Amino acid sequence: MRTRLVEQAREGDDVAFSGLVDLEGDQCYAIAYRILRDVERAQDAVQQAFLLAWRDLPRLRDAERFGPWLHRLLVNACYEEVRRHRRWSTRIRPLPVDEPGGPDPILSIDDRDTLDRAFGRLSPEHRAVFVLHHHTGFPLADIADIVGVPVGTVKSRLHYATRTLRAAIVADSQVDSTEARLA
Amino acid sequence: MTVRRDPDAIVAAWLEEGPDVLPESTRRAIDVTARTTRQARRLSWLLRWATHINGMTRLALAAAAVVAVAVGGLVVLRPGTYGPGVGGPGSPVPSASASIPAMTQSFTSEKYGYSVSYPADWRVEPATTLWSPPEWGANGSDMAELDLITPVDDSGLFRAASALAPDAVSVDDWIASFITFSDVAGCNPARDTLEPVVIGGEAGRLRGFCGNPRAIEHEATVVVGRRVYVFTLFSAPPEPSSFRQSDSRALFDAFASTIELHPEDAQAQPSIVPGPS
Repeated sequence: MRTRLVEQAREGDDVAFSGLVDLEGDQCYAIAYRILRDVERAQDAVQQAFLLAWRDLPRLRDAERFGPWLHRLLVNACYEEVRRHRRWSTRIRPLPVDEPGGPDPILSIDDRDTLDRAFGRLSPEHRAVFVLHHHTGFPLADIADIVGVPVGTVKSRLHYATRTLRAAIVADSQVDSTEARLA
Repeated sequence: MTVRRDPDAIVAAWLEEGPDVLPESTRRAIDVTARTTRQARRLSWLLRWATHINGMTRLALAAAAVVAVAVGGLVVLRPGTYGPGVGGPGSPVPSASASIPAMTQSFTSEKYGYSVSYPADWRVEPATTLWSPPEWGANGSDMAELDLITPVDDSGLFRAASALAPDAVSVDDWIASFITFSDVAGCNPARDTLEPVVIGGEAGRLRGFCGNPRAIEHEATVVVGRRVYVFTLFSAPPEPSSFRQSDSRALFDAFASTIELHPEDAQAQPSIVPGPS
């Protein structure tokens, strides 16, 4: 069904393209939010990615490759959002967005703060790999295709990002533990 | 007592937090954008053509410089002579028809070893990667592999490329098999039966496109040594019925008359296999 929509949209059918947005929009938004950690910038990135997808769909030779191609556009849009944000950022940290069911009880406010800060220090390239693998569940080879680097580089980025976030939590826990002993 | 916490579980929980549904406002904005933003129709049209060609060229190969312009209707071929200081069979250039814009700009291909002039309101997109004929044959032409010159209204396309024909094969057969080959019945004339032309002082052959009633195309293949140039002009007017074959030919003639070939300046390409027999 998706391939058919891609073929129709490639021919200029905007209704078919709208169908693709329905199919892919939620996942793209989830990915963009997790890379950018900001609702509005995630929306901008998704919109930009779909705009480019619409404009350049005729360049896509193989309709079956729409998914990786769209994700590549999305990741690049996220990179651009990060760069643009850094130019005028006042370092206002976005508030965590809670799910309808409320925040996960395993997470404390400090955890979120710690992870947000650690994640914010990662490059957008590291963030993208981390999100695509740990949130979206894409295989490393697919991620390499999307971000345009060898699989070895993907592994390296993933390892670095994971280690950084894990270390931030461990360090934070150790501080808490020390403070508790001193109290 | 301190409870040991699993950092991986915490990171995973943190990562899962956040929205997963694209807001309706963004969805609507994308829809509006799609309705009001023009697609690269030129490329879409070419893609269809290229796909057809692929069916025809399969392992395409060699190099070619393609110029494409489209008009509509049947292609009427006639002898032509192009290029500086060149005489040759048939009528002189360019043919008089319609209003052919002045070729005031010039472009020299660093990859494929030729130069051509074009109108002021056309734009050039040089190839960014060398033409990969097997890939072209398998998946459709990659526009990045071709020098493209297009008018601002995207109503046509001149494209060009070149490649070396492999040794130990007949260049004419190779061109017929992988560049001009068509799987449409009656669209596979032998190269030596096509209209002779001279482009850039070298002998070539010109053909019109066969099998696509909407497309108007003139395509010349020119061989210098074992380097094969392909120049194709397509016309894709919004209203094909308003476009005349003679207009397309006149425009092709105008382009072709400015072409100079510099095979010695073409970038070296990986050796190209002849393809399946």
